[in-house]
Amino acid sequence: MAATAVRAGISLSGSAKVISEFFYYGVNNVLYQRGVYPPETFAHESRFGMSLLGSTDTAVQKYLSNITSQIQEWLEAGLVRRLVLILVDSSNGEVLERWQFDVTCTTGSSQGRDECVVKKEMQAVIRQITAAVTMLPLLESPCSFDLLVYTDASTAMPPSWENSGPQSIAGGGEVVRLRSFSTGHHTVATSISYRTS
Amino acid sequence: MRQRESVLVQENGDFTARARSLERSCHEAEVARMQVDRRLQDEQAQRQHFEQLSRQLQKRTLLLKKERDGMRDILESYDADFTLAGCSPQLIRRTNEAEASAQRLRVHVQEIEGQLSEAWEESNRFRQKVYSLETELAEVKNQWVTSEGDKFCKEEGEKLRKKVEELEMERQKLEEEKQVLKEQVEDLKLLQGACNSNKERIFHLLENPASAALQQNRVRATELQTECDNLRECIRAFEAGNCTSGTLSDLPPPREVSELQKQLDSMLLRNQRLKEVCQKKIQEFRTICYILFGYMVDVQLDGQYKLSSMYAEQKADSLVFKQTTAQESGVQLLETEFSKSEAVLQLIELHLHHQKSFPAFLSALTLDLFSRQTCM
Repeated sequence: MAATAVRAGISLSGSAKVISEFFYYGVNNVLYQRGVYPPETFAHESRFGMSLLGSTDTAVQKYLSNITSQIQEWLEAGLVRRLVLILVDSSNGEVLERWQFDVTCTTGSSQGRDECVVKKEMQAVIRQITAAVTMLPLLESPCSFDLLVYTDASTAMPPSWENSGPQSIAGGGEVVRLRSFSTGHHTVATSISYRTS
Repeated sequence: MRQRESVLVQENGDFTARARSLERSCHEAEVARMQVDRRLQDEQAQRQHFEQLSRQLQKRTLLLKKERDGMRDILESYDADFTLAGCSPQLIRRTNEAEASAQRLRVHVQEIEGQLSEAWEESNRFRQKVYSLETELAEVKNQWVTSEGDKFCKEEGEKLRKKVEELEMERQKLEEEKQVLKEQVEDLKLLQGACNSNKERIFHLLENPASAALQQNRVRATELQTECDNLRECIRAFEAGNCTSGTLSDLPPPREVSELQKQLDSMLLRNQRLKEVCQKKIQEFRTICYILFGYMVDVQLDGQYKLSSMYAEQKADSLVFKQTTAQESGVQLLETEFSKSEAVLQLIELHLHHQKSFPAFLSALTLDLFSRQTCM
C-alpha cells in the first residue's frame, strides 16, 4: 500500500481559528512595538513556530479574547471583510495610525492550504509588522487603541457591540502595504496608514 | 479640452443629423423621381395609343369623305342624267336612298369627329399633365443637384467626422486612464478605511480601551477644571479681602495674616540685631581675654579650641584643646607642631602630667614666652 504522504489542507474552521489567533498576536505585537502599553506588561509566548509577545494586562487580554472569539465566529460564516486596529491619541481622540487587515473570503469550492505553509506566511507578516515600526513616526503623546470590524451588511450586531465610523486618519495619511497570506479559505492583506506630521 | 471635445461632439452630431436628413430627402426625391418617370412613361404610352387612334380615325374620316364625294359625284351625275332623261320613279327612289345613306354617313362622320375632338382634348390634357410632371421632375432633379452641391459641406463634415473620431479615440483613452485612476483612488480609499455602507457595516466593542482612556481623560480634565475654578475663586476672594469660600474656612483671615507677617518681620529684625550684638559681645570678650590672659581663643571644630599666645615667636605657634568628658579636667591637649617643641614638652610634663593644671601650664608658657621676648 502506498504511503499517504499528502497532508490534508487546513479546514474552514481551522482557518478561522488560525486567523483570529493571528489577529490576537498581531495586535499584541503592534501594541508592544508602538509602546501603547509598557513593555513589562508583555510576556513571550511561542506561537506559529516563533516567539511572540502577549499582553499580561488582564483588561487587554479580556478585551482581545472577546474580540477574537467573535471574529472567529464571523470568519467561519464568511462575514468578516476587514479588521482594523486604530491607535488613538488619548488626550484628544485623534486617530494616529490604522493597522488594517483586509480579509477576503474564498469559501466554497476552494481547498485549504498546508498549515506549515500558512504558518510560514504568517511569520513573514508578523516579522514585517515588527520591521515596519522603524519607519513609522514616533508616538509622542500617550496612546490608546480600538479594534474595528468591517463585516458584511447582513451581519447582526451582537450585544455589547455598537456601530462605528471608519475612524480614518485626517487627510488620509500615508499608506504602506505589507505582505499578505492565505489559508485557502481566507486571504489576509495587511496595510498601515499613519498620520504624517 | 473636455469643453472643446464636447463642442466638437455636438458639432459632429449636428453634421451627422444634417447629412442623414439630406440623405433621407435625397432618397425621397429619388423615389419621387422614379414614380414620376414611371407615370411619364405610362402617359407617353397612352398618348402614343391615342395618337395612333386619332390617325386611324383621320384615315377613316378621309375614306368616308372620299366615299361621300364619290356619292356626291354619282348623285350629281344622276341629277344631270335626270335633268337630261327625265325623272324615273326608280331613280328618285335610289336618289332618296342615297340621300338617306348620305345623311347617315354625315351623322356618323359627326360622331367620329366628336370622338376625335374628345381624343384631342384628352391628348392635350395628358400633354399638359406630362408637361407638369416634367416640370416636377426637373424640380426634383434640381433639388437633387442642389443636395449634391453640398459636397463642400460634406467634405467639411467628413473632416470633422474624422476629427471627432480621433477625439473619440482620445476620449476613450482618457476614459480608460480615468477608470484606472478611479480604481486606484478607490483602492486607496479602501486602504484608508472607506466603507461601502450598502455592503458593509463597522462594529466595535462598546467598552474599548480607546473610549475608556478618553473617558478617563475627560473625568480628569473635569476634576482639574473644578479645582482650577475653586482656586480662581480663592484668589478672587483673597484679592477682595473677605473670605466666603468653603475652602478658605481653614485659613486665618487676611488681616490676621498681615499682622502675623508684621510680627514675623519684627522678630526677624530683632533676631538679626541680637545676632549682631552677640557677635560684638563675643568679639569684646575674646579681645579682653586676649589682653588679660595673653591667649587668642578660636573655636575650630565642634569642641576644639585653638589658643595662640600673645607672645608667640611665630604666628603658626598654637595649642589645640578639645573639650571631652573622658578626663577629669574635661579638657584634652591635642598634638601640634608647637606642642612638640622641647620647651613646651617640659612644661606639659611638669604642669599637666604632674600638677594636672591647665591654667598653670598656660601661665607658665606665657611667662616662658614673655621671658624669651624680653631677654631678646
